[in-house]
Amino acid sequence: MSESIPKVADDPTQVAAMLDQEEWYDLLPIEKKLIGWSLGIGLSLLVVFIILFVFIFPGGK
Amino acid sequence: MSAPVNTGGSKLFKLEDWWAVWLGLFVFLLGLGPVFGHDLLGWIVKTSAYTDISKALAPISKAYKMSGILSLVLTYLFLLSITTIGAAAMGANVKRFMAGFTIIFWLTYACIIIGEYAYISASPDKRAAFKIPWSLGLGEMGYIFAMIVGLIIGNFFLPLAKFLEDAAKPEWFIKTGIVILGAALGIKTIEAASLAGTVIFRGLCAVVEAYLIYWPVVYFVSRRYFKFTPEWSAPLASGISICGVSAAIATGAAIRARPVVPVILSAVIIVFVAVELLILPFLAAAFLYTEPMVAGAWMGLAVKSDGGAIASGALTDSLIRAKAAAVMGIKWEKDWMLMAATTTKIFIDIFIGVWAFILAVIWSVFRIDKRGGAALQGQKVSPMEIWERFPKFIIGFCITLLIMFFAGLTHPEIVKPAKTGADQANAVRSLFFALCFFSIGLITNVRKLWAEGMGRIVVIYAVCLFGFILWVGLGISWIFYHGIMPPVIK
Repeated sequence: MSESIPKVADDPTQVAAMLDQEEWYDLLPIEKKLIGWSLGIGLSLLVVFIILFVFIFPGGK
Repeated sequence: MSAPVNTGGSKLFKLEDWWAVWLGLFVFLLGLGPVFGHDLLGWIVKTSAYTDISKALAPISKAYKMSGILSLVLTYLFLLSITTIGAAAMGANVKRFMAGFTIIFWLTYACIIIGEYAYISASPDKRAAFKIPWSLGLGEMGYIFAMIVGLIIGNFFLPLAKFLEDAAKPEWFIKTGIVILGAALGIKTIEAASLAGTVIFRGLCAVVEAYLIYWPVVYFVSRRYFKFTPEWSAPLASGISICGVSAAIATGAAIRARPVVPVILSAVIIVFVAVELLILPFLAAAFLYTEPMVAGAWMGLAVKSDGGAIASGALTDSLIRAKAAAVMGIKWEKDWMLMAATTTKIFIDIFIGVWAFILAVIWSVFRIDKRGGAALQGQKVSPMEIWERFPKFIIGFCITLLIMFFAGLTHPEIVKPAKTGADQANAVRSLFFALCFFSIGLITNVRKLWAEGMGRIVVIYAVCLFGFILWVGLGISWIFYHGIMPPVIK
């Protein structure tokens, strides 16, 4: 990626305060959709790739 | 490590990524010398395994009749010059950079020399040549020594670490090395086009899998079980599951998270990269030496930074070749495992721009983060963001690889001198990799993890990485690469 590694906060104790201020809420429907679609496509493709690379073209042949 | 200072002017001369391209291409051009009958890089120092240290150093080309020490000093001056030009253009304090680079270079090189001691590095088949009864056969352990020295300085000698910080640029060093590596891989591709094509195609497939499976699981765990908000969860998921610091930054920017969020995450990511770098190559050498390409791809998928992943790939390549020679009597060609790690990592880098764009659109349209969403409402997300986030050093890698590949394909007579030149350039590449190892150690400040509030981030990182990502990555690598072997040296 194009960014370089940033300097870490000199006062990392602010992390606790930042996280404490956060108001947590449960997964929104769109987040569930994003997770579901991503995982669904990933697992489906995995099945396709397994068939392709394990059974049809094993070992790069 | 500091981000490049934006002092205006063209990004072509302000960004680390672009400077990796310029330096890499410069070394590549010098490496083309033998193709045109000139030996322009033959004076670069090469360190060989030794029992008598006076025989450790020598110029890489026999055409140069000079002492190893002189060759080393010239190599140092060369690297100092080209990196200083880049650092100056990026707005660094030149004197501080030069002083820091000098210390880093000599410490790193001392580690390389120690690592080449025959009792440490020699594979069993070479013991007779050195007249030694035993050896650890650990290959290029100098990398690990460099990292350990960096870790010691970074955690116990803080004033020195602070002084060296401006010159410790692991991402810049490794990206420059990757651009140079393109030439060597281009030549390899000519010699084994079918295998190279397989590695590249399967690398692409493996990366798509990793994105689509890693990210949603980590995001879900982060949101549901660790109670992080989307502002933290998205950069965290990208950082843990995809490409470490750079992915966390890209995602943070895409969803308009507060800039401090990826910065805090980077402290955790850097430490875990160092841990992975110290453990995974040795695990791979112990259990995956019969499946070398699986091991290489695993490094690319599991270690979460460009520097860490490619460095792990190089170390794995060295360790597994030594072990295969010792246990199975097979001598595999160098750098094929590194190629698997590199191609995997490069595809990961390419896709983070696309992934960040997708997340930016979703966050903007659906206002996922209540605070960030409000900030994003009405903002247009430009496809230019993909280009903005595109890792530019990959352009350099593709240029060197494709030039070598097509030149060798259309003019077979140049393959031999081109290989000589690529090997010379590769010696410079190895030095950039070693400098990267040292720099990773130096910037890894373990104590930052103990800061109040970091516990939850450290725990989710450890749980996801060691409980899930490493093993899914290994499974994916196995599916895509098992049974594929590097060419054997005849």
